[in-house]
Amino acid sequence: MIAVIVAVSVVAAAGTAAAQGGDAGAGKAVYDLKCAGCHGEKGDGKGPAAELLEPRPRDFTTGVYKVRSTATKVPTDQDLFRVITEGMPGTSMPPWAVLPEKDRWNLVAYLKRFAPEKREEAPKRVELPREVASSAESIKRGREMYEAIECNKCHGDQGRADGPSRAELKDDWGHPIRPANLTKPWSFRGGASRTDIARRIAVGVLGTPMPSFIDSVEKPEDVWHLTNYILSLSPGAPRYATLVTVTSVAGAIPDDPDAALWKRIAPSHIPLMGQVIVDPRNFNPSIDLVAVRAVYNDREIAFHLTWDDPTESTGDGTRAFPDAISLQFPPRPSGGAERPYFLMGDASEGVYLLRWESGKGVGEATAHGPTKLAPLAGAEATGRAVFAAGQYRLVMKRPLASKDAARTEFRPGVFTPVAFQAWDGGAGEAGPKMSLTSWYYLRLEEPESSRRFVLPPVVAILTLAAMLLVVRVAQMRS
Amino acid sequence: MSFLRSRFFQAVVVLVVSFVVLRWGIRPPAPWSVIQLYMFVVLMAVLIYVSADSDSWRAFVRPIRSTLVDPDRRHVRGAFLVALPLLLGYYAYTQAAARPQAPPELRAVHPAPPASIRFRGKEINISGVDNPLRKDGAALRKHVAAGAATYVRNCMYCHGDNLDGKGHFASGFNPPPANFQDPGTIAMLQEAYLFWRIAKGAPGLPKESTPWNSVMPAWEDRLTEEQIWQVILYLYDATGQQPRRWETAH
Amino acid sequence: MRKMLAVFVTLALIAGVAVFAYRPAPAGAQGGGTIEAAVTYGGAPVVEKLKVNKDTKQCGTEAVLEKVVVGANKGLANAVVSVAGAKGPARAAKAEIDQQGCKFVPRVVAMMPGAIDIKNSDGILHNIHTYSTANASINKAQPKFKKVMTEKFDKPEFVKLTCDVHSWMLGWIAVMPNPFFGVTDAKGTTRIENVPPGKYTLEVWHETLGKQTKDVEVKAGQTARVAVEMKK
Repeated sequence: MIAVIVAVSVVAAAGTAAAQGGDAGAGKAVYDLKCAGCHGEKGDGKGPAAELLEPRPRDFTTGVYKVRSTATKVPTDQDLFRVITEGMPGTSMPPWAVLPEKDRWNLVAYLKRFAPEKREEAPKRVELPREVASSAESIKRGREMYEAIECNKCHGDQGRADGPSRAELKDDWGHPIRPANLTKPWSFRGGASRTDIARRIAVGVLGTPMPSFIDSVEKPEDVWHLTNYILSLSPGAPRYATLVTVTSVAGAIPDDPDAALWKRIAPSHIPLMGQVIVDPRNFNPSIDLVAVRAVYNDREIAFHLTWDDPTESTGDGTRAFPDAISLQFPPRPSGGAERPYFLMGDASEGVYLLRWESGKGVGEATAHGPTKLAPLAGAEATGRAVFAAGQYRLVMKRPLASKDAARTEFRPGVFTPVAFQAWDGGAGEAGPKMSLTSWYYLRLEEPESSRRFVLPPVVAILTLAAMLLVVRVAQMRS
Repeated sequence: MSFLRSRFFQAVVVLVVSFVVLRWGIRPPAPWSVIQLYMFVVLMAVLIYVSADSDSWRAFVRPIRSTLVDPDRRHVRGAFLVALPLLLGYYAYTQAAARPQAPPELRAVHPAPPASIRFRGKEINISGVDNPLRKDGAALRKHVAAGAATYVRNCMYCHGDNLDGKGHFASGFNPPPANFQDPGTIAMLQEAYLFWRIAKGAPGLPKESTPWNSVMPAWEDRLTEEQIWQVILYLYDATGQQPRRWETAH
Repeated sequence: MRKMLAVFVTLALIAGVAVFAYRPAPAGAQGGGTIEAAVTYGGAPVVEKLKVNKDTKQCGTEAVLEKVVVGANKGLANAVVSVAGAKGPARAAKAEIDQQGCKFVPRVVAMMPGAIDIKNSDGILHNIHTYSTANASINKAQPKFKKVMTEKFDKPEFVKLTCDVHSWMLGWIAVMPNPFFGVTDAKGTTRIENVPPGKYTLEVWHETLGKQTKDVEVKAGQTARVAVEMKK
């Protein structure tokens, strides 16, 4: 035992050079424990979880790796180490930084064993052209190139992965594959740094339809202009909200999702996850984010929702279904924390849904579980949706109060539970196959008051007076 | 150095040290309301201590009194008269201007399990039961492997490949999925407790555990009794934790 | 005597010139034969049609997927006929394949190891995505301004050529080890000339119908006619 410890510390002391060598035998032990569930014991990407995942786990026996910094097919050891360490955002591959660095190098050594014949050629790192800093000019040139080399064919005109070739895309193994949504760099498989993006454009993503562009741009530095343009499509990763604040406004609330009012309201970003409790389960949800803006006036409450959906679909009823989104509330929000089951309620306690469906428009329903929806009679809700460049923008409005006990009432200052569900019908989502959230809070803010300007001076003066009194009394007594 | 030995200074030191320990010394950070409660208790204890006898009390109030009345300390007095109202005024401003936060969800993390549950029509005793598959020593590895397969096909999406509660759906849910690597979870629980939690999921939680918030499915709808015991074996095997044993009655 | 010498010199010169002139194809000069292959297929043609949702100006509104093209008298087009084991020098002309009307033209091109010009006459984005085992696979974008891209295939094999932007596009580059090959035309025939005399195995390859072989004997100055029927 002591000998082992000594041996390990000697190896550790030998530094990274030794560590990078990696011990494939030791790597196998880690692999069997941590990786085989998805990638399979034989490294063929056929672990027990494989068929549920999209994209599928990597088949190491092909030696083909998506993310690499090389001009050739073979990735460097550092490339493999990096993917293990940082994972692949937007996929089921998690970052394994939790493992000791040595284990990760051992894994690299073991992975290479799965396809030794594919590694005869030494990896050659791609030389990127000199970096071009981002500027309005560079972004403009990037956009020109984006159009000239037709990135839109897959990634869509605004980068929302809604290009006309989207539905046809398959990886080298024949599995359907989605183009990246360029407005969500935090889900880029190979990382979202400037160099990462420039490299992906330059050498492509092996085994997928994403080709190499380094020889196919007008000038090599266009790779950087494209990078700058892509990064300009997104303001960075969203900060997820826990509370949706409903802003008080005076006057009428516009139906038009593109009205100026909505641009003034800061959105709350809500992440959506797949529904995997009830069949059919949705392990790879299409809609993962909705931006919520909400306002109210003396009569109405209105929700403005923005979400990306690559296909506008009203559904043919077999493979494609209508697109839909819904807001879920407890019908009677009590002061306490108690509320219906988050998954559209259950038999004992139902939920109220304010929903929109393509082809049908805005409606209301009650639900006692994901398959037990009952539309509410009498249309109290109205609204309008627009679809453009892979994105829905929707306004749903409703009176604050309702005589109907099944409909939730909204009152200022009350924390009202709210949950969200969304369906991308074009991706075959319908019924329980959806993306959803658990409960969040919604709060109608009180109308702007001057309280915060009046209160502090009053408090300060009262404190001063009280202190003077204490001093006075103390001095008189002594 | 008489100042350092003064009752007043000692009281202040005790209060400051308690605050520092409560605020930064506890992982994960305690909620603000809890800190307030403890600080109040500490303050009471200090006051009781300094007022235990009249000498002590007099020693305690002496610096306060001198600041209030002594002519040679009028600068300090003046500073207090300016600073304190400003401080309180600022506090009032932050309170009035603060954007409301979502109310905290106070929940019982490990509620008391029922004595027995009905699993697909079968009565299963929860108290005092051990994992029946552990008796089957020869097939143990096979059960662990089967548990691993069930885990990656069902549990991994929230509880993570590394069983650390960081699956790719985890970030969207509150409360977050349980982290089995944490010694505060499965190592503190009997295997039968896990069976109850897996079989009945969130819908089977008692009210104090906010069953409407947890997204844990009731796995009795999907997994067999054996599969659940296998997954439990896998959880302990993969994390290297040991299940808590039932206390043997003497 | 002088006259004889003159005749001899003249003859020698002619012979020398002749040898020089025929150097690119010495087999023929030294009495090679010709193979005329007729490839037939008894089954039904497989031609699928697909509605096009983009680039309709270049691609048309309907894509035609010519998986099995059968012409008159059951003649099978797009089959590669080759003479296994024959030896000969490299062909002079560089191989070429075009992307025109969102189709590879020709659908099947045969070449010897070396470079091929891949043209883009459509003036829209295509990507050259190859599937191969011996040669490194390629996935390179070919935007509208890249009229020609030259790629190298050094090892003999049948390389599948696709375009992910227009997923129906499918072409084949048959990299052959010797210069004695041909691709059948719409009638299912092809001629392979200047084959050195000898006994060979004729190989016929088709993208969906697979491989068939047939023995053939090539005699100097003669044409060997071979009929091959492909079966599923």
